[in-house]
Amino acid sequence: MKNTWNLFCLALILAILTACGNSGEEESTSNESGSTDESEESAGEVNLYTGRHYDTDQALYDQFTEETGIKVNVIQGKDDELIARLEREGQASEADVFMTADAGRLHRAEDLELLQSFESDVLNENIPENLRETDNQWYGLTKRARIIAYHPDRVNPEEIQDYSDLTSEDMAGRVLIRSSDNIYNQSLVASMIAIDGEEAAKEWAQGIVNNMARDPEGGDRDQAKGIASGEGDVAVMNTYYLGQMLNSEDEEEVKVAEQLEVVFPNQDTTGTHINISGAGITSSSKNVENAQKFIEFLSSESAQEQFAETNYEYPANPNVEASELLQSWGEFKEQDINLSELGENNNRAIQIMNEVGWK
Amino acid sequence: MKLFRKLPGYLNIWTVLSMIIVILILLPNLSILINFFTERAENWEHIQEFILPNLLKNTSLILVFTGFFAIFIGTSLAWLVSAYDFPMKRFFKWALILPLAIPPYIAGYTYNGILNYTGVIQTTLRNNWDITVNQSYFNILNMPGAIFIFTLFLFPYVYTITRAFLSHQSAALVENARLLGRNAWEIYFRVVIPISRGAIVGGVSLVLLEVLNDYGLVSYFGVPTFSTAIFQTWFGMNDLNSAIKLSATLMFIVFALLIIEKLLRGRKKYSATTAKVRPLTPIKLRGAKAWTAFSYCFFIFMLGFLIPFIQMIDWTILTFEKIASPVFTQLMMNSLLVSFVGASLVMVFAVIIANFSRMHQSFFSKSAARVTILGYSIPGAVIAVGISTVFIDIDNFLFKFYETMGMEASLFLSTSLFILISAYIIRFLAIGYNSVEAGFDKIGNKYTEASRMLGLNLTKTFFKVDLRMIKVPIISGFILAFIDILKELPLTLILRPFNFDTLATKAYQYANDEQIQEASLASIIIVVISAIAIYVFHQVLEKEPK
Amino acid sequence: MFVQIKDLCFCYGNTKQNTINQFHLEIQQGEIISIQGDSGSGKSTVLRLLCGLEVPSKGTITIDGEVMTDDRHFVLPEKRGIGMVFQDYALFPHMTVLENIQFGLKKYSRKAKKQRAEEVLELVNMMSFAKRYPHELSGGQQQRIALARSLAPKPSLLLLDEPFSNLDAGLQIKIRSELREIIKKTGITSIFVSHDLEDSKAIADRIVTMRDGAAHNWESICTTTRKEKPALHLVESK
Repeated sequence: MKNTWNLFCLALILAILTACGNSGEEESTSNESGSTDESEESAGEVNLYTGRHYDTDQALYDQFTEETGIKVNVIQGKDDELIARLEREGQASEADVFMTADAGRLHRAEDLELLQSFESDVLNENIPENLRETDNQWYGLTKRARIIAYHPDRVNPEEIQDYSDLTSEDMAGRVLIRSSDNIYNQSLVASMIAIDGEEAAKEWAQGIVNNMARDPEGGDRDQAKGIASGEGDVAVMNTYYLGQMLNSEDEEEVKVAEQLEVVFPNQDTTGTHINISGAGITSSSKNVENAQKFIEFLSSESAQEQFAETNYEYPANPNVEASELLQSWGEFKEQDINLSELGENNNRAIQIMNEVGWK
Repeated sequence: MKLFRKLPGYLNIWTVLSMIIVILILLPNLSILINFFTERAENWEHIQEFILPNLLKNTSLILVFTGFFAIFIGTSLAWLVSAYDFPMKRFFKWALILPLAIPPYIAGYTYNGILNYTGVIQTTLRNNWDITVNQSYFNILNMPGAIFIFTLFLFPYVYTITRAFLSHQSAALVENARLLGRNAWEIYFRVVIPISRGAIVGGVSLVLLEVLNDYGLVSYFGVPTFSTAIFQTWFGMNDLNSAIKLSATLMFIVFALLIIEKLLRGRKKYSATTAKVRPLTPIKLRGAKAWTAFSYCFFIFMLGFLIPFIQMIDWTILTFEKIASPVFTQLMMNSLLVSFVGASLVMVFAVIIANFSRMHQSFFSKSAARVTILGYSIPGAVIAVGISTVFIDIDNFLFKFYETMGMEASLFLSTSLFILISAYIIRFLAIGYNSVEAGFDKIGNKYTEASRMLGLNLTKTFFKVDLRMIKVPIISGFILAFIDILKELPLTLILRPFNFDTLATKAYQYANDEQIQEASLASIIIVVISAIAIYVFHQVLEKEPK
Repeated sequence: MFVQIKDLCFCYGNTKQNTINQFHLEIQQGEIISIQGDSGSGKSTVLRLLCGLEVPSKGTITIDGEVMTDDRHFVLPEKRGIGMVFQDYALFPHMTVLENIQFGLKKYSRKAKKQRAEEVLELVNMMSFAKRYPHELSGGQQQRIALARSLAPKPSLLLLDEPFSNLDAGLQIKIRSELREIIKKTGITSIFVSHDLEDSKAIADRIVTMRDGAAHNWESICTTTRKEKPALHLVESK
C-alpha cells in the first residue's frame, strides 16, 4: 500500500516535471533561436494565432519553415476567443500573426487595435486591392462564396437568381438554411445591411424565416443533405462544403453532392456574397519581419495553390487558378463592398435575426 | 474573546492552504463578475426582449426532461443490477457507466451521422430496398434529440451514485418490504425511489450541471440555450457585459438548483453510525423475467455505447489512411499528461479543502466548500476569460522578476501549461471534492479525534490516518476528474500553449468543420482511454471494504 | 486539585441555548469520576471540552496546574496528554492491534515502543492478539485494545465515553470490574461518562449527575474494594 502511494507520487512528480519541461522547452528554443548559434538555418520564429484548422495549413507552415528556417509556433482556436485572448494579453502578447476565416473578425481585431499596418510590395502585387484593408492592416488570402444550392429536378434555376428570390411566396417551405448562431449567415445579413440598408435586410431575414423548410439545424452539409432527402429544395451554403462533400471518403455524401447544382446569386445586381480568410500582424508583434515574410509566403503562387485547392476556396492571388471544381462553376461577380463592413454590421445583423425569430 | 479562544484551532497549515485555494478560485470569477456591476450592457434590453424568454423556456424544458429521464433510466438500472441476478449482470454493472466515456457533443454528431440522409440506416433502406423515409422521423437535430443525447450519455451519474447507495445501504428496508409482501414494482416506487432520494438528487444535479455547461451539442442541434446565447452576445455582438449578465443569470439558476438539492437532501447523516451495513442479497430471476431484465440493460447499453462506438470505428477505418500519423502518439501523450497532472492536483486541492471544512464548522469553511462548485457551474469559456485575465495580471506583476531572471517571455505563466492546469483545477474541483467529502462523511471524525488524543497533530494525523482511510474515494474522484479533463474542450482550446494539441482539440478541429468522419480517430482514442478508466473505477469501488 | 473546571459554557454551532452551562468540577489525582445523565444532558460534551476537541465559549480548565483553556490560552488536543476511549473505540481499521497501540508512542525508540506496547497488552490481557486487525476482534476485545491504546502514552488523565454501550449485558458486568481493576492498577485519574447508574456505581469513586448542561449533585459511592475516602468537594449548581 505504501509502495503504491510512493509510486504514484513519483509518477506525479515526473509528470509535472515533463509538463514544466514542455512549456520550458519553448522558452529555450526561443532563446536559442534568438542567439542563433545552434544552426545556420535558425532564423528565428513566428507565433501564429489562427482560427483556421485544416491539416493542409500545417503542411504549408512546415514548407515555410523549410524554405526560410523560421519556425512557426501555432495556437489554433475559435476566432472570437483568439481575439479575446489577444485583447487581454495586450502588448505583452507573444502572437505575431493573427489569421482567421472571417473578414468581420479581422475588422474587429483592427477595431480593438490589435493589428498594425505594414507595407509590402509583395503583398500589394499578390493580393488585389479589394481584399486588402485600406490601411494595410490585414490581407485576404482566400475567398469563398455563399451560394444557393438546389435540386435541378425540383427547382428552375431562373427562380433563384437572387438572394431575395428565396423570400418569394413560391419558395414557401422550401428553403434550408442553418441557424443565426452561425457566422456565415451573420456575415450575409451584415452584407445586406451594408448594401440595401437595415430595413431591407430585416425584410429579407423575415422572408427567409417565413419560407424555412424546417427549423434551422446542423451545419452547411446538413442543408445539402436536406435537399437530397427532399425536406427542402434550395439551400444556402458555402462553396467549399460542397467541394468537400464531392470529395468525401463517404460515398453517400458524394452522391448527395452530385445531385445538387449551384447558383451564384445576384449576378445581375449587387454580386454574390463572399467572405475571406485573411491575416494581419499583431500590434504587439516582436518578430515583425518574420511575420511579414510569413504572410508574404502565404500569398505566393505556390502557397496559394495549395491553400485554396485543398479546401475548395478561391485563391486571393489572381495569378493562381482556382481548383478544377470551382472553375467548372465558372466566374462570378462578387459583392462590391469593403469587407470591413461585415464586421461593423455584425452586431446589428444578429439583432435583426433575433428580432425576426431566426433560431 | 470567542475568536481568541478559537484561534489556535484555526492556525494551521490547512486553514492557510484552504484560504489560498479559495482565493485562487474566486479571483477569476470575481474578475468577471466585477464588470457586472461596473458597466452597462448595451444589448441587454434586446436580449431580454428577444432572447431571454426563449432561452428560459428551452433551458428549462431540457433540464426537466433530461432530469426526469436520467432519473428514470439511472434508478431503474441501478435497482435491477443491485436487487436481481440475470444473464450478464456482472458485465452490465460497469458497462452501464460506459456512456460517460463519450462526450455528448461527439455522441450528437455521431447519432446524426447514423440517422441522417447519408447515414447508415437510411442508406441501407434506400440502396437495398429503395425505401425513402419521412425525414422528420429520423431527424435528431432538435430539442427532443438533444434531450435524448443528454439523457443517454449522462444518466450514468445517477446510475452509479444510486447503485452504490442501494447496494450498501438499503438491505434492511428492502428486505423488510419483501417480507411485508410487497411486489417488485411497489418496492421500486414506494421504497427504493424514496430512500435513495439523496443519491438520486446528487446524481441528477451533476447531470443538470453538465447540461447547462454544454455548448457543442446544443449549438449543433440548433437548440438555443444559455451557453449558446452567452457565446453569441459575447463574440457575435461583442458585448461582454451582456454575456456576463447572462452568465450571472445562469449562475443564479445553478445556485437555485443547488439550494433545492440541499433542501431535498435534508440533513446529512454520518453513515458511520452504529447501524451495521449489509449488502443487499440479489434475487435470481428466471425465464422471461431474466431476459426482460437483460434486454432492458442491453438496450440502454447499445444506445448509450455500442452503436455510437461501432459507428466511430467504422468512420475511423474509413478515414484512417488519410488521417493517421505519428502525431497521434504525441496527442495521446499530451492528453494523458494534462489529465494525469490535472486530476492529481484536483485531488490534492479537494482533499485540502474537504479536510479543512470538516474540521471547522464555521461560515468560512462552509463557504469554502460551496466555492468548489463554482467552476463546475460556469461555462468553460467564461472561466477561461476570467483565469487568463488573472494570470496576465500576475505576469505583468512579475515582469521585473522575469527580467532579472533573464527570461525573454513576459507572459510566462499565461502561455505555459501552468494556466491550463490551473483552469482544470478550478473547473473540476467540485468532482474531486464531492468524492472526498463523501469519503470523509463515511468515516466521520472519530478516527481523527482518536489520533489527536494519542498526540498526533492535524497534519500528521492526516497523513497517518485520514489519507489511508479515504483512499478509495480519492482514487475514484481522481478517475472521474481524469476522464473529464480528457474530454474537456473549451478551456483546452483557448488556454493551451503554442503547438500544444490534445486529442480533444484534434477531434474538435475536424468536427467543427463538419468532418465528423475524420474526427473519429481522435474521438475513439478518447473513448477507449475513458472506458479503461471507467473499468478501473468500477473495480476500485467494488473492492472497497464495506 | 488535579483537574479544575470552572464556569464552563459551550454551545453548538448557531444554537442560542448553551449545551453546557456554568459547569464546575474538581477532581483529585487518582480519582475515578463518573458523569451520569440522560442522553442530551451534555455529558459527552464535557469530555470533548476537557480533551480540547471542542472549544468552550467561556470558562477555565486546568489540569495538573496547567491551564488548558481560558480567555487567553487554548492547548490543542494533541498537546494535552489526555487519553480517551471512544464510544465505538475508533480503532484504526487499517492497522493491526500492535500498530494501533504503538500509534501514540511516536517519541519512543523502536525498542521502547515495543516494550511499552507489550506492557499495556499484558495489562489488558491481550498479548496473543497483537497481530490481529480490529475487525477480527469481538466487541469486548476491541474495547480492551482501545483502553490499552489510550493508556500506552501514559496520559495524565483518562476519559472514557460510554465504554459499555456497545457490549451486551453479560459482558458488561464482567468488563466493568475488570476495567476498574486495570485503571486502579495504573493509578490514573479517570472520568467516564455513562447513562447507566449501575455501571457508575460499579466503577466510580464519585458520581456527578448532569442535567441541562450543569452538574447538579454529587454522590460518593463506597464500593467494597475502596480503601480511601474521597475528599468532599461541593459541586455547585447554578
